[in-house]
This record gives sequence, structure tokens and C-alpha cells, in this order.
Amino acid sequence: MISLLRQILKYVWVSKKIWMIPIILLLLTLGGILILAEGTAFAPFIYAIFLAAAQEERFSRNKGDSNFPSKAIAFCLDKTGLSVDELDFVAFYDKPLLTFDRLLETYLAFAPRGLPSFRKSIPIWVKEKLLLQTLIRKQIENLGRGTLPEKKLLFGFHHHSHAAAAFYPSPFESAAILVMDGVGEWATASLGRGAGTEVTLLSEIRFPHSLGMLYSAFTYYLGFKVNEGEYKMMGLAPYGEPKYLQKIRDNLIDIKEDGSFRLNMKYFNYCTGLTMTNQYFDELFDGIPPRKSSARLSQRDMNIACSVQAVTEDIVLRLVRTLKKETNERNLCMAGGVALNCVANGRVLREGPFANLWIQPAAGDSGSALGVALAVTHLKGQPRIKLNGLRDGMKGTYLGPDFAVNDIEATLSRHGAVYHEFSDDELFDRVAQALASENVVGWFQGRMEFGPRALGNRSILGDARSSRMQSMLNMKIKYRESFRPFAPAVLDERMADYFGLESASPYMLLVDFVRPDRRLELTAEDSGLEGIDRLQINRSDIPSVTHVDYSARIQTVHKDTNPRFYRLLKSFYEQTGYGLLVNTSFNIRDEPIVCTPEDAYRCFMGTEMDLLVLGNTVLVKEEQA
Amino acid sequence: MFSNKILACLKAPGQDDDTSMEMTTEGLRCTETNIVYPYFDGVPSLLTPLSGDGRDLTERVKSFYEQNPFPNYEGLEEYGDLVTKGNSSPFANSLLRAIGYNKVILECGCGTGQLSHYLQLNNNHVLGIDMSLNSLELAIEHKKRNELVRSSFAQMNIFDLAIKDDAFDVVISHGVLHHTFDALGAFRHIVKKLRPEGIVVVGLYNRYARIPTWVRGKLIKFLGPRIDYVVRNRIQDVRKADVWIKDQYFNPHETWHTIDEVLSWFDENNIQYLNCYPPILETDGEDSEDLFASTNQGDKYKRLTTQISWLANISREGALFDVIGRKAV
Repeated sequence: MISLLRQILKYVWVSKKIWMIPIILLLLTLGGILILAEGTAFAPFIYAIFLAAAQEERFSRNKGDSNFPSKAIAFCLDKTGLSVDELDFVAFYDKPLLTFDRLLETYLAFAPRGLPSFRKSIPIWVKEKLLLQTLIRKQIENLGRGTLPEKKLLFGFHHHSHAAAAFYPSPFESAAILVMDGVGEWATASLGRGAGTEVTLLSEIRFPHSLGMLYSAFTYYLGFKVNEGEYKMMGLAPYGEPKYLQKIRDNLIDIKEDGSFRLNMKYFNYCTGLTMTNQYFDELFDGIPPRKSSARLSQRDMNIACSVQAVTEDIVLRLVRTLKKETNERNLCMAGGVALNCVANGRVLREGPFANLWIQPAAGDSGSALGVALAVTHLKGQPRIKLNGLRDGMKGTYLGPDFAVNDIEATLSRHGAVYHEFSDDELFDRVAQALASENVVGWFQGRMEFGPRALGNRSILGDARSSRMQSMLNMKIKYRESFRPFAPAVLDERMADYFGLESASPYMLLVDFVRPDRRLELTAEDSGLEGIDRLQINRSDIPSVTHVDYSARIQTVHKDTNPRFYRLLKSFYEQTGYGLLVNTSFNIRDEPIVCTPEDAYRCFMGTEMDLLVLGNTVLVKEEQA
Repeated sequence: MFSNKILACLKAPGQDDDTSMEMTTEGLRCTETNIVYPYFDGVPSLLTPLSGDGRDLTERVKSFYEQNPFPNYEGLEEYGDLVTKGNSSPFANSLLRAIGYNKVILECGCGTGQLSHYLQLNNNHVLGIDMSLNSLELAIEHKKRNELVRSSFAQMNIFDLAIKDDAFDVVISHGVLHHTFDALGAFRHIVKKLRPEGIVVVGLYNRYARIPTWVRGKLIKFLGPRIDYVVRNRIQDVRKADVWIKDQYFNPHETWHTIDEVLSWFDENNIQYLNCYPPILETDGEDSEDLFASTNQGDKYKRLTTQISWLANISREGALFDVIGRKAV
């Protein structure tokens, strides 16, 4: 507590914000009382990273879990065989004081408008974030794996952590760096450069002007969950026309030539309220209030999604051009939640000025835990990771837990499941055969992926040639909205057969288009269809991974990063002449991706999946009784 | 229309258990007597003509649900939406988890079939039966549209089930027996279809917690449907709200029951008490995560206070409580 006070005083002194002292003292007293009264219900959103990495949600089975990541930390310690005492440092990816400063200033700037939200959120902030140092140490020590002295606990700037996650594991010796998200401490977009072990941030756009927040505001307005539904809105955009583009530009956002922008805060509520948008926003968009999540999606919703996607792409492209001018680098690295917008990423690669692009696969806040850990190691004099022929430093992002044959068999026996064991050769052939007969396969292999995408170790697979696969997967496996597209995983060397993309995309973060010679002519009847009905049209010979605008979110599969997934695709190619499969994450709507064999069995039995493959063990749904 | 597992459980109406049925294009055919029981509007029907006690009342209830298929599908056209809704319902979700995998389930009074469709997850096979053809038509329409293969439906009378004895792993009747002329009599019939060690789940209106609904029923004509909590908070669709109001406040017949009463039904029918939903207060049922776990039934006092406490929670949503038991060997 004393050290915290010392830190605060130092911060107030340096930043010349003497006026904050009485407020902070008052809130600290309040926070102290709350802690004494309630015990240990703290919720810092952090992740554990060592030589292993995983998100807490996968262990707790609670999607987007914001509790202290005890299970994820325990896994990382188990995997590396380290105790807390043996760790040189533990780092957190945010400077809580700076964020607190932003919150206070924002509330003061808008006062008295945000009073109800202030009353609700500030005590939580004091308790959870401002006193984070004490809490992290206490929680880590509660694991019973050793003690964590105060000097070993470090805090990084939020966007610096993102930038480090984007640059250090990249294959580049030097690169420009673009970080964009909702908000860190103050920054919402940062432009920087990395060279060797140095990462420097050159300029930033500050809260409340935020591209991430703008995107989330529309996500909210269209009836999807903020921080989860952004992907859905991106998938919805191709169904629409950018009919609201001008309206957004004229009223909501002022975009400068260099990509910097200002939002018109009259229309947004996130600074002071508990919603993202307000009644002025509704009035601007035809006087219609936010869509209820259960309401049917209209063509208007699709047009709005399309328009905000277009604005986003425009800003990202402008920022990228500015970054090129400022750094003159050949390479670009990206991170932050907005870097998960793979449609924008695809355009950056095709239309942007950089020769090479690398995006951190865990581009969201989970990846910044990894970033801050890497930043600390370099700060303390460690050299960059040597790639030794690897594609990048992320090892394909297969950094999570894996399970031995014994674990798998114990789980299956407990459930009385009927299963078969196959040798590798037989396994790949049989599974490829099943896929070619339109079977849906749960594919569980090796270490779990770190980051939001399933990349062939916790995946559900299907035949991309099947015209019914897309609706079947949405309706009977994933139980999700029928408009949502599916992504292909393609053998790296066969990518040019299907897509226009010219560089590898191992992390499924780039969108490109199906080659024109694979597209099918639309019939007159097809052309008359509107909205979601357009999904029923067969647009190519790989219809289940061809979105309505012929785009596809591509994962290239490489022999060196995932040999087993590669072999399966190869077997499928040998049997069918097609070197790609539908790859979607192994989970159902609103649940985290499966982690253990138990999770996989449950998901397999709870859906209409035909086959479950756990390592070399195969379960056939029809045989379960 | 029926999976083999479900077809094997059916018999001809009024016949012995050694008869079996097969599907033909015209209807279900008894392989022993060759009598064909035709489909009505695509719905398999094994309904015997109503007779005897309660015929008039049964006719009235049937015709009520023919006019008001319940709970209806608005907003749940896609199976994914139905599953998401089921997963977010604490009762439906814990029921599915407790049932587990690969089971054969009978739902007596399935209405438009939502619960039956949901419970066919986990590789379970479900037969939903109901009197209302219009409700069953909607259930089958959803099944066909979503290509579901393990949920199936037939029109039957709960007092004359065309189902073999000891055939099902789980028998459920959730909010139905209180609309029959003899709830205990109906219970006797349905538990016969349960195999030894099988699980029965019976959901009924509670004698105490239903009182506010009765009061609202007297006021609703004057104050309008917004006095109902479910209409205000849960239902967005106007048609669905209308069906809910009719089911709750304008039903031609309903009876109210207590936990103790159901316990006496269990005793009479050789059923061992397992659990109650919502749980009986101050028993291990409160901590039990498994709906089918064997828990303490508490004493009369605890059961009474539990039911009075329901005035503060389940009362606003229809006051339905479920008691779960296991059939003794």
C-alpha cells in the first residue's frame, strides 16, 4: 500500500496533476474499505505467458472470463516445470494508474453527465485495477507455487505491450508497427517502429477517439455483444451496400488525410454511460433504436455493417500509408483488437505500401500479455528469439496444453464411449475419406492454440466442396447465426489454386478472394435473391468457404508448423484433388473453444458431428449407444 | 419419422406389448393386426377415441391447445436459436446435463416440441406425445426444416399410451398433468413406461406459488397483459405473448399440487425421490449441481417453507416446480 501511494504521488508530480490527489485519497480509502469487506473477488483481465500461453476461459469454460487467471498460470507453471520463485519477472500489460487518470479526466470532462456510470464503475476500478499490484501478488502467492516479491512485478504500457507482441515474434529484423484497439491507458491507435530489441512508439491517437470503439459501437447498435460480436458484424458486411458511408463520415467521424480522426462524441455514450450509443445516434440512423439480439437481421442492418466496415478499412489504409512515410520500412507488424479485422488486413496487404505484413495471432489483449513478457526480457538484455528456420517466433501459436493417450482413453472409458485406435497412415486416410463423404469431423490434436482462432489442433472440419456444409455447420454443429461464413484451411503449396492471396496466412488473419476461374455464373433466379438468402447460391466449386462477395478468410497450413494437420489435408488432396477443408473452431455458440478431451467429447456428443478424432483415437457418432 | 430406437418402443393402441409398429406411407401399421393408423396432416396418430371419465374435460383441453399451440416457435425458427435458448435456461440445461448421452426419452405433453428437440442433443432419442395435432404439426415442421433425426412425435392420449411398458430411460411431463382430469391417474400411466432405474421428471403448478397467478387472472381483463412478468421481460413476440397469456390465465382446466403430494405419488408407484427444482431449502439439493443426484427431501416444515418462498421467485413465471425420482428395480 505504501509503495502504491509512493507511485501515485510520483505520477501526480510528474504529470503535474496535483488536482487528482484529493480524489485519489478518497477513492483509495473507499477501495480499502471495499477490500476489507469483500475479500478477494478481484478481476484483472490478465493472461499467463511463459514458454506456454493460454487464456483462462479455456480452463474455466466461461467465455471471456475476466477472473484472475489462476488456472492458466498454473498450467504455464506445470508445462514449464517452474515455480513462481524461479521466475525472473512477472509482467502486466497495462499501467493501471494511467488508465485511472484517463477515466477520471473523461468523467470530469463530461461531468455531470456520467454520474451514474461514475458511481458504478469507479469503485470497481479502485478495487480491481488501481490496487492491482497488491492483488496480483496476492493471487499468485495463493497458488502455493512460491512468493512474488514486489520488485519482480512489472507493468508495461498497454500499446507498448501490443507493439512488442506484434514485433518481437515477427520474422523481421526491423519493421513499422501499427497498434489499434478500443483503448489502452489513453492511446487507441499507436504508430511505431521496431528494430532489433528496440520498440519505439512514434505517435498516437487518444481516447475518446477510437476506431475500436467506433466498430464496437456499431456492433452494439446492430444487436451483437461488444468484444465478441465484432466478427459477426464483419461477416455481415458483405451482404450489404455502403449506403450509410456518407452519413457516418458527415456526422460521426472526421477523417484526416493521414488517417488520424476525431469522433463526434455527441452520438456516443461510452464515455459517460453504460451503453455504446445514445438517442442522437438512433435519430441519425432512421430513428431506429439498437436491434434486439433476437430480432431478425434486415437489409438495412447489413448496409450499416457494410458502411462501418468501409470506414474502418479506409482509416486503416490511411494510417498504414502515413506509417510508411514516417518509417520508410519494408515490413509492417500489426496488433490490437482491430488487427483481427482480417478483411481490412487483406486490403492492407493488397493495397498498402508495405512489402510484408505480419500480424500477431493473439492480436487482442491476450497477446499483449505475451508482448509485455517479451518486452521485459529484451529490456533486461536478452537477445531476440532466433528463428532457426521457423516461420516466426509464435511456433504456429500452438502454446496451450496437450494431452497424452492415457488422458484421452481415461476420459472415453469414463463415458463408456466406443472408439478405435489407428496408426498414423490409416488415420489420415480414413479421416480424409470420411470428410470427402460430407462427414463433419471434430479434430483434436497436440497443443491448444493461443489466441482466438482454431488452427487445426482444436478444429471442426468439413468438405469445402459441399454446398450444404455451410448451413449444416451453422445449424447443427455450431448452433450459430446462419449468415456467418466459414473459413478454409489450405495446403500452403496449393493456395494459388484457389485464392488470389500471394503471401502465407498461417494464422487465418487475411481475407482474399476466390480465383475468378473457380467462380460460377449466377442464374437469373440467383441474382434476384436478397440479404441472407444470397447465401444459398453456389458461387464457386468450393461454396462452403466462399462468402457472398467471393471472399475467404484463409489459413495456410505448413508442414513445419503443423505436420499432422498438413498430412490430413494432403490425404484429402490425394483422394479428392482438393487441397483444402473448412476449418472452424471446436466449440458451439457462446462457449470457449474446447481445451481437454472431456470438453471435446461433450461438444461432439452435444452436436451433430459425425466423427471425433482425439490424437489417433476415433469415435463414430453412429456407434455411440 | 421415427428412429429405430423410438419405433421399437411403440405398440398398437389398446394392444399388448408384444405388438410392434412399422412406418408406411399412409400411416403407422401394426405388424400383427395389419391395421394402419393413418397420419393426420403428416402427424402420426395413435389416439384412441376418448371415452369414460373426464371425456368432456379432455375434449375441452384438447380443443384449447388446438386453437393455441403452446409454446409456439416465433423467433426460434432455426435449431441453433432453440439450442442457445435451451442452454441459457437453467432448468433445460441442467436437465440435459443430468440426462447425459445416448438415452431414450419420453416427453408426455410436448406441445410444440421445443424441449423434445432440445433433449435430442447428446445423441439422445426423444418421443414427444401430445393431444393437440396443431401443436405436433409445428413440432414436426421444425424437425423437418432443421433435419433433426432423433426427436419424433405422435398424437396420443396420456391415459391410453400406445407405448410398451418399461421402454424409456427417462420420462418427462413438464407442466402437463395439471391440465388432465386426473393428475395422479396420468402419473400412474406414464411411469409404467419407465424402465427400472429410469428417471421420471414431473413438473406441476404449485399450490401456494400459483395463487398470485390466480389473482392476476382475475385482474388481467382490466389491467391488460403487461401485468404478467414473463410478457414484460421474456417475450418479445406479440403472438407468443398472446399464447402465453391464454395458457396461463384462460386455460379451461388446471389443478395445483404440493411437493408432499408428489412424494405420495412416488411412494405409491415405487419411485424413489431424487431431487426437486427449484431445490428444497436447507437440504443438500441446494448445493447439488446434478439434477438427478440423490438428495434429502427435508421434513414437512422445510418443504412448506420452500413452497412459500416460491411466492417470491417462480410464482411470477407460472409457479411450475419439478420433482425428480428414480423407478425402483
